[in-house]
Amino acid sequence: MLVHYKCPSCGSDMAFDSESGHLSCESCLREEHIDTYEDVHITQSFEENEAKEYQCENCGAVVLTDQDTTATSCSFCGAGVVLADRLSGDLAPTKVIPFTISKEEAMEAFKKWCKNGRLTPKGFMTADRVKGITGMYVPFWMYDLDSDIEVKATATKVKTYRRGDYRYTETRYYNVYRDIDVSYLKVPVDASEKLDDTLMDKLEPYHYNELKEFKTPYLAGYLAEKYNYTDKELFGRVKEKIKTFIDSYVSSTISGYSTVQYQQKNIDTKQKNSYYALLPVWMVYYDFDKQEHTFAMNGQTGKIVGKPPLSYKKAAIWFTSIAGGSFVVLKTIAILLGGDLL
Amino acid sequence: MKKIRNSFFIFMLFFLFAIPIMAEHQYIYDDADIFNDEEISELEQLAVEYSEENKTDLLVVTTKDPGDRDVKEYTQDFYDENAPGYNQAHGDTAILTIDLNESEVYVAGFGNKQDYLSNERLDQIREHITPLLSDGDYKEASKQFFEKVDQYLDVNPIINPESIFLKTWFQLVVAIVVGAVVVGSMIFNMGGRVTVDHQTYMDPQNSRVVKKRDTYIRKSVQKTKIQKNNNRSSGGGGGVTSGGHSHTGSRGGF
Repeated sequence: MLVHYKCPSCGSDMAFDSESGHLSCESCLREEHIDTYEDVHITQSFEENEAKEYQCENCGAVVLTDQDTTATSCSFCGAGVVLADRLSGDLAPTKVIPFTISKEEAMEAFKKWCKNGRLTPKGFMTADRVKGITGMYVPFWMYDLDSDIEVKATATKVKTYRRGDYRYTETRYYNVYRDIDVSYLKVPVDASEKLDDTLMDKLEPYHYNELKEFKTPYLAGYLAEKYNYTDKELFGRVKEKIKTFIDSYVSSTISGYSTVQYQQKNIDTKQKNSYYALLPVWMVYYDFDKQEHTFAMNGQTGKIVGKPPLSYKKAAIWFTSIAGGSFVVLKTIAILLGGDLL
Repeated sequence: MKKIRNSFFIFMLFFLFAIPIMAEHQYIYDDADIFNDEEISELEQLAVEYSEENKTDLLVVTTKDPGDRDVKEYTQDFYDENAPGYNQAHGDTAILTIDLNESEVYVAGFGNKQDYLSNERLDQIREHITPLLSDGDYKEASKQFFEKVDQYLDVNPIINPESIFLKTWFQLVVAIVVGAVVVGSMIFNMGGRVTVDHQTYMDPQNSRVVKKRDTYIRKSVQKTKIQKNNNRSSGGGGGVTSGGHSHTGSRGGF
């Protein structure tokens, strides 16, 4: 099933506009609010079998899609289309964060980011070989979690004092017990197998108060994917992810000690809720030195992640100037205090 | 009238003798006769150079017969009697006294340079030259004394002159480590950093410590003797001479 969003005034294809948050028509500049957009203007075509080929309603061209794609553009006429059958039933997302950064802004921000690369090769900084930039809704599972933590630890307080000709080191041992309830809301875990997990983890945080109820028009004009893993399959990953959060929370409740040694730490995490959410990411593909580099930009905050190429020459220059500079500073202080020149 | 002429005469006589004595400044007082003439003139030469450079008299005093006095008292009396000093009589002076009778050594700082020649610093100098004295190499010990005093007088009192921070190799190592850490973290953070922490997703309303217990079990006390810097037969640092001149010092056997 292929869904087109037609303009009520001119019949042209509409796409989501990140600036206004509305559907907008490129031909007549008409804007339609997503909540009030009438269903009559949605044209749909059904495909009986789960084919990977769809037919564009506009021009009749074949829209080739990947089996995970849920939104794309017709490669022929450019109309944004949404594959609605892949967004229904179990596969229906509940939440979405719409794009707030437009393609032009994303490109601009990326170029600026390249220029600031302190360790990237010179040719990379001009950002003139960007192969493509794609706005993509990446499937995430968001978990609301309740954790019950029980900790037993041995902690010490060390005090030193002087009496007469002796120095005393007094170590006091304590048994520490904590029973902690902690709950985390909307912890996101990327559910697409195509995207690198560590890359996606670095994209966070999104402003979660901007989460909207999912409506398909948000996807018009962008690429979107459906999840490859269910929330149950990814529960292990989210537990792993909050483990570091839990550890630092626990240690923040045990304060005032010189050392803390954990004897036992039982963490029981229960899933209270999970949402299937689509989060906006600009993917930038950049050809440099016969290699393709992939960068991802948070489509809401503009944070850019991805490993740019490293210029060893620049790294060496930085290293020598920092090491040399600190040596000069240290030496100057030493000479001012009366040390020798060599 | 005659009286006045006489006293004038005596005054002139005093000047005639006094001037050559003042001009010929002595640095090496070798009463124990441990240096030969050649060594004395070599050490005198060095002492003149170092004393001029540091505006402080650097003296070496040796004795075989300090009387009833220990090496420290001997040094104090020596200072009172001979009134050495670069800037004035009883002025800025550093003295190395070698007592061959008791095999004891005393290094002392007088005058305004006592901050630079504190008891701790003099301990370091004394410990540095003690092995040479034990070997009987008095000339080399005197030379090392000059060199160390010369070095220490340049170094601000707030820092130990032998501190590792003043060593070039240490400064190089620190600079390289700083450079490596900074560039290393730059490379590590090139791909973007994780900017979420444990509070990002926490729901503060539903997170709390339910039960909390901190029970004191026991304590253990370790007792260590504070090491004092006085080695065998050393009698404190500095003091005040019977002539009322305060000084710093370090005493020890060899």
